[in-house]
This record gives sequence, structure tokens and C-alpha cells, in this order.
Amino acid sequence: MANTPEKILHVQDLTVSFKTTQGMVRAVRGVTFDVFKGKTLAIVGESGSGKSVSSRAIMGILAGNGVIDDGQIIYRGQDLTKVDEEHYHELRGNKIGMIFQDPMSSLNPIMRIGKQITEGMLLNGNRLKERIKQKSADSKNILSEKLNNLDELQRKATKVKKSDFGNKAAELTEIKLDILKAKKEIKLAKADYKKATAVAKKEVYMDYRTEQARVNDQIKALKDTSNQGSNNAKIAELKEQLIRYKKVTKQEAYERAIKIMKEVGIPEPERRFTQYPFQFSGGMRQRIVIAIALTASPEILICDEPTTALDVTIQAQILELINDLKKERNLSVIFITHDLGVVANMADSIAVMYAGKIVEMGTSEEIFYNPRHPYTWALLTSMPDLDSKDRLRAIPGTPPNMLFPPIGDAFAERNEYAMKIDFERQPPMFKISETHSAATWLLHPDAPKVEMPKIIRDRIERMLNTTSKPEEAANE
Amino acid sequence: MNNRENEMPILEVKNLKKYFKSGRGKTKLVVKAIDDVSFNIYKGEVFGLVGESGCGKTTTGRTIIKLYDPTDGEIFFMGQRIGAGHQGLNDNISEKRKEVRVAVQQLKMEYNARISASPSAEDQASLKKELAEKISVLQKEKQEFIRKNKLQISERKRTVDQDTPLMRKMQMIFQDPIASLDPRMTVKEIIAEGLRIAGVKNEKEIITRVNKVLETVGLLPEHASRYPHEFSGGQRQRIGIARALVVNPEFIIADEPVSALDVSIQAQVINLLNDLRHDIGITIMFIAHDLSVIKYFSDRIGVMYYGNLVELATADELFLNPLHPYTRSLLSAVPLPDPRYEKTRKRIVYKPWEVHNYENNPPRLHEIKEGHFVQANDEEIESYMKILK
Ligand SMILES: Nc1ncnc2c1ncn2[C@@H]1O[C@H](COP(=O)(O)OP(=O)(O)OP(=O)(O)O)[C@@H](O)[C@H]1O
Ligand SMILES: Nc1ncnc2c1ncn2[C@@H]1O[C@H](COP(=O)(O)OP(=O)(O)OP(=O)(O)O)[C@@H](O)[C@H]1O
Ligand SMILES: [Mg+2]
Ligand SMILES: [Mg+2]
Repeated sequence: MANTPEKILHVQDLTVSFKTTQGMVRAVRGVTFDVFKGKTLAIVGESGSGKSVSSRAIMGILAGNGVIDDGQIIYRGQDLTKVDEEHYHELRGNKIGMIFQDPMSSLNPIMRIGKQITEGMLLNGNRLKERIKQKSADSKNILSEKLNNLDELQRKATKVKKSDFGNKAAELTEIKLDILKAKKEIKLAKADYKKATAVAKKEVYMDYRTEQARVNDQIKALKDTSNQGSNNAKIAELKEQLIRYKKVTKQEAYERAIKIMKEVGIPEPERRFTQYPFQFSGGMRQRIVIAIALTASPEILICDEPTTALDVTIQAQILELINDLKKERNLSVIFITHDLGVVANMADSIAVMYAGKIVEMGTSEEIFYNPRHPYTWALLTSMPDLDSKDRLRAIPGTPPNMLFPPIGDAFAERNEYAMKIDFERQPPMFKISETHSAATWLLHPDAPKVEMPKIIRDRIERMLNTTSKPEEAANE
Repeated sequence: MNNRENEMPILEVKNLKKYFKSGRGKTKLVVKAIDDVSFNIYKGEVFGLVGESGCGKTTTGRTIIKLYDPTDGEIFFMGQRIGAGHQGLNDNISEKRKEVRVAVQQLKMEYNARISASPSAEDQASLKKELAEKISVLQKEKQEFIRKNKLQISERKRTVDQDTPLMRKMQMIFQDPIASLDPRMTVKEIIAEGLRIAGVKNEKEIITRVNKVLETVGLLPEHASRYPHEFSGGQRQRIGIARALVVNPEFIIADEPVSALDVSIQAQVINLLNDLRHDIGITIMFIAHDLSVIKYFSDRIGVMYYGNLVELATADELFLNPLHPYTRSLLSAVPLPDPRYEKTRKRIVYKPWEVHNYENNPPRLHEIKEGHFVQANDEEIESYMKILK
């Protein structure tokens, strides 16, 4: 990879718990990953491993009993764990979109499809406001950077206070000085931001008035000419143009909705626009949900098992659609699923989750052709294979109870390769390549050498060697 | 497994149709969920049924197990007819009535013209007589035809009742493990229900059999007193399987038993079903849309497309020689856990209106190779023969 793509989301040590009557459910326990511009990160793992909770945390839509105990979610310099609800609302609508497993639950059953698609556009449709925001974006970014900086310093201070070695006092004084400095900088940045916004506002309104005058002149000119009849249409058009300069009009929202419905492959969009969700098939409903997510032109699209309820043909259509959009719009995608075939199709990189942690992380090729964690092996072997009738190797036992997560490696209980240390200490992430790492003691230099199960080794060899697959046979 | 023609099938489905009608007059809508489907299932085999959502797989299963009445066609189970519809016979009758009505009208017109053209009263009388005779022949023929068809209809109406011992040899595992288990009943009650319906009253026997079946599906006797929500998805699906197994069925219809489960639990359930068929010799009709699972688990596979069976062959043959364009499109849509292959996989899209020309030459289910059936017309059969491996 010569030029690494821009990192647009960085999740660091994300830790999420849920308060329940039986105690705290430790759903996500320190998850770290990056999302890059125009790339797809797939998150895989058994049911209950924390895939949905992680993505809901990014969207800021955790259930009421959920808390983020620790960690940061950095998007465009901003830590989303610190963002207030009002701000989040904006992000959710505009920058980060999400598609859920069950399309029916995210559609309103008694509202016409068209209205559901245009609603968001009209709601977020004030263009002047948007322009002001754009113009003051730079100074806002500086401000968030400074705020993050302060946050980090404060975290560092608490850490130092808790630790019991080194020269605590001296270190603390130094941090305190830094904090003071950071606070001062924030004050300045805030003032700058305010000023920038005021200036931007003035400019934007001035531009609008110029435009207004220009259009009005044109209208006047048209009215003066004798050819009244045919000019009326032109005048209406000019008026619409002027309103569009200011905000998204109903007509415009309709046009864009029809365009996006076409883009996601809904036939006869004009007729479909006035129908209700129950008049759509499962696959079509899911397309509508995608269409709604797309109207805001998000930068990141989170897909939580968007095709689990659909059959292969429709699944294939939806996956192709997401891949096309990714290319056309340079969209970043977080794709959650437990279907490894789908992962192979979609992912640029893969995070394998188990019991609230990422146990292996790598590029798609690294995970499928060189898996290193026994849990990844287990996932790969439990899948039926088109070319063999060997007994499937189900993973023995069940995932741990997340009310009482195990002290050591959470997978140890079910792992035939587990060593004594696995039951005692959690393995760190061992680096295998620049992009590949896995949390298993098997990668420790002192560990005995263990090969992946023969069944996967054979399968990988076959995958890398064969050129002819049944589908190719199907292609004349 | 290939040639079992001489064997008696455990299940025989003949020209089965199931139409759902709704609305009246202008809003009348007929959904042809199954439209003339025929296949056999032989003892001890796993018969897979695939096809996209809404093509009629569940309806086929539910009609076989008598949850729906067939619109037309017949179903035989262990040699006995368990279901039959007579829409076709009804249609025959009304068609005949119409045909005769039209013929009579034509005769009348013809004769009336001749009668008014003929000069003598004598001629007219003989023509009238001739007409009356001709009409009466037609009417008699019609009555005979209707009598025969009505006889067949009443014969078809005599099928096996739902709650007979024979029907208990057939059980169904439902698509949604959560929705199909009553949340207020304990696992024991859920499983024992079938036994009670079958007339087992001895409480001791019930407990023994429930415990035994729990063991078969890999659950523990102490699970019997728990409620469904206390189990994982895979365990719930096992409860559904236990409920079907407890009455010792010969034949199980499993409607997407693993579609909602993640890979590791899916593997548990498939292994369990595989053991049952090898150890007890149960015959299974397995409905699914995951082709990797279907290929792994089935001996023969039927491919459905909008109420029709478009291809039927052994699993290996179907994957080696997919002939019907819909089958090819289905196979080309399966994602495999192999990123390099996925990068080059080309999906074939099935557009029936482009690939078939059935206007003058309609298709039929044709056995193109021993045990391999495909829906095609003569022209297509010829072209399929060429690519057959
Ligand atoms: N609101 C909640 N209260 C208590 N526990 C919760 C809540 N939401 C999720 N959990 C728990 O958090 C853990 C992770 O759940 P999550 O939904 O992220 O799993 P998942 O990986 O998405 O699984 P699946 O593949 O089944 O969707 C589970 O143990 C779950 O029971
Ligand atoms: N009770 C019913 N009343 C009216 N129409 C029905 C009924 N049950 C099914 N249908 C219709 O019959 C057709 C076949 O449905 P069926 O449930 O058999 O499909 P399927 O192949 O099982 O699909 P899936 O893969 O989604 O389960 C569909 O068009 C469906 O809408
Ligand atoms: Mg989930
Ligand atoms: Mg179904």
C-alpha cells in the first residue's frame, strides 16, 4: 500500500457496559480500530460478541442502561463520546448513517415511503446555515483539537495520580501547567470560532442578497417583455432557483428522492414514492432504508447485518449496491455480519470479535489466508464447504457470561489449544505484520509451535490453487 | 442415490397447485404460490428445496403437512393419499359447460337460418327434429363428462385426516425458533404436547420420552423445566427439533432451521440433523436459501422459481451441471469465504423475459440426464444437451 488512505474514524479502547438487575454486563471491553476513507471494515464474531454494541456506541444510540466506561471515538478531530445530543443529532443525520438488520424496524409502517425519504432532506435543508458552518469549519476543527488535547491531559493526570511509581509530584505539576496552557488556548480558540462564525454569517447573507437582486432583475426583465405567456414558466423556474439557493425545496427533495430510489434499484420510483412499506418486498424495504441513509450523503455507513434476513439473490443485489456506492461516493463502510462469505466479498480489513474484544485484526487476505487466532480458526471450520462433506466442526461450549468475564483469555474454555497461561492472563495483541495482529499467547516467542488445523490449511491451499469453481463452470 | 425409480417414494407430490385468493371483483388477486409442482422424496434421503424469498418453499411444506388445502394436484405419503385438490376438475366442468353452451348456440343459429330459408313446412319440421337430436347428444355427453369429473372430485375429497397416526409420522420444524415456541410453556410441556395429541396419557412414559429426546438433541433433562427464553438461539432450535422428534416421525420438513443462526450454532444444528438421519434413518425435506448449507446437507436438490420447480438433480450434479438460467444465477450469487475468488466472481442475473421464448413452444419438466430434470422447451433442451458435462 503506497499511499495510505485518510483515516476518518479512530476508535480507541472503547469500553461499554450495561447496568442490569444482575450486575454490569461487560459488553465491549477495550476495542481499538480505524476506519479509512473509501474502505470497508468488517466486524465478525458469534452472536453476543459485542458487534452491534460497538457500532451503536459510534452512532451514539446505546440503550438507556448502557454507559461508555472508557475510550475515545475520534471523528474529524472530535471525540464523539464527549459530544452532546444536539450535536450528535446532526452527525447522525448527515455524516454517519446506519442500516439495521430488520428494515421494518427502521421504517414507519404508516408513513408513505416518499415522505420517509424526503423528511430528512427537508429537515436538514437550510443551505445558508450549512454554508456558514462550512466557512467556519476550520476554526471549529482547531477548537475541537484543543478540547481533545485537554481531555487527554486530564486523562493522563488521573492515570499518574493512580499509578504508584516515579516522581508523581513533579510529573503532576508539569501536567497541571500544560492543562492551564491548554485551557488558555481553548479560550482563544473559542473566541476565534465565534468571530469566524460571525464573519461567515455576514458573507453568506450578503451573497444571498446579491443572488436575490440578480434573480429579481432577471424576473423583472422577463415581465417587461411582451411575450407574457411563455415567460411565466421561466419566472416560476427562477423563483424556485432562488428558494433553492436558500433551502431544499419540496420539489427538489422529490427529485433527489426519485434519483436515489433509482440509484438503489427501485423500479418505477414515481409510483413507488406514494406507497407504504407493507407494499414492498423485504429486499425493496432494505433498499429504501439504504436510500434514506444515503440522502444525507454520509461519509461513514454502518451496516449491521443488512442482509441476514434476505435470500442470496437479493443479498447479492444489496451487497453490490453498497459496493458501488462505496466506489462512487468514496464512502467508508463498517460492515457487521457473521457470514464469512459476505465478509470475503465486502471487506478491505476485518476485525474478529469475541466476548467484547477484538481477538484478531488484519486485511481480508490476512484473515482468510493466514488466520492466527484459534477463535478465527474455529469460525472458519464451522462453515460448510462447497467441496467437502466432512463433519462440521462446531465450536464446543458457549460464549462466556459477560456479567463475569473470565480473567484470562475469554476463549480459553472452548479452545483446544489453550495453555495454562490462557486461563490466568489476558494475551496482548501480538503484531504479525504492519496490518495484522492477534491476541493469543500462541504468538508469544516462548509458546510451543502450533499449526492451524489441517482442515483449514487444506482449504486455504485449495482456495489459493483452484481456478475453477462451480460458478465459473456456469459461465459458458 | 441416482436411480430410485423402482423404489416407492416416501412422499409423492403430483401436479400440486396452491393458489391464495384475496379480494373480490376489481381488487381480486390470485397468488399462485405453487403452480403445478411434482417431485418424489425417497426414504432416508435429504431433499433440499431452494429458491428466492416468496417462491413458495414454505407454502409447499405447509401444504404437504396439511396446514393448507391444495388447490389442485395430489400428495401421497407412505403410499396413501393425504392431500388433493380439485380446482382442475372444477375447471374442466365449467369449461365443458361453456363449450357445450357455445356449441348449442352455434347449432341453433345454423339451423334457424336453414329453417327460415327452407320453403316447405315438412322440411322445417325435420330440420327442427335434427337440431333437437344434435343438442340432446351434446347435453348427454356433457352430463356424462360432469358425472365422471364429479366422481373424481368426491374421490379426491376422501383423503387422510390430519390427526391420524399416519400424519403423525410427518413433522415440521418451523422457520422461526422464537415465534414457534409458546413462551409460557416449559420445554417439557412444549415437547410433550405432540405426545398428548397422539394419545399418550401415562405421565411416566411422557417424562421418559421427553428426557430421551432431549438427550438426542444434545440437551439435558434439567432443561425440561425451563422456559424457551432461557435458551440460546441454537438451543431453541434444538427444542423445536425435539418437539418434532418425540413422536418418532419418519419424515421431517425442516423450514430454514438454520437461517437465523450464526455459523457456529448453525454447525451444531446441521450436525444434529445429520446424526438423526444416519442413526435413525429419518427422511428430511430441507428448505433453505443458503446454497453452501444445502449442498453440504442434501442428497438431491429442487430449485423453485415463482411457484415452479425449474430444476431437480442430485446435489453434486446440480453444482456440476446447472442448466436452468435461474439455477445458474442462484449459484453465481453465493459468496464464498475466499477474498480472491470473490474479487472475480461474476454474478449472472436471471431475466426470464430475455432468456426464454415460450410463446410458440412452452416448457415442460424434462429429464435431460438420468435423475436430472430441468424445465425447458425443445429448443432449450437441445442447447442444454450441448453444455452438459
Ligand atoms: N441493553 C442491554 N442491556 C444489557 N445487556 C445488553 C444490552 N444490549 C446488549 N447487551 C449485551 O451485550 C452483549 C453484546 O451484544 P451485541 O448486541 O453487541 O452482540 P452482537 O455481537 O451484535 O450479536 P448478534 O450477532 O447476535 O447481533 C451481549 O451479551 C448482550 O446480551
Ligand atoms: N397465507 C397466505 N395468504 C396469502 N398469500 C400467501 C400466504 N402465504 C404465502 N403467501 C404468498 O405465497 C407466496 C409464496 O410464499 P412462501 O411463504 O411459500 O415463500 P417462501 O419461498 O417460503 O419464501 P421465504 O424464503 O421468504 O420464506 C408469496 O407470494 C406469499 O406472499
Ligand atoms: Mg448484533
Ligand atoms: Mg419460507
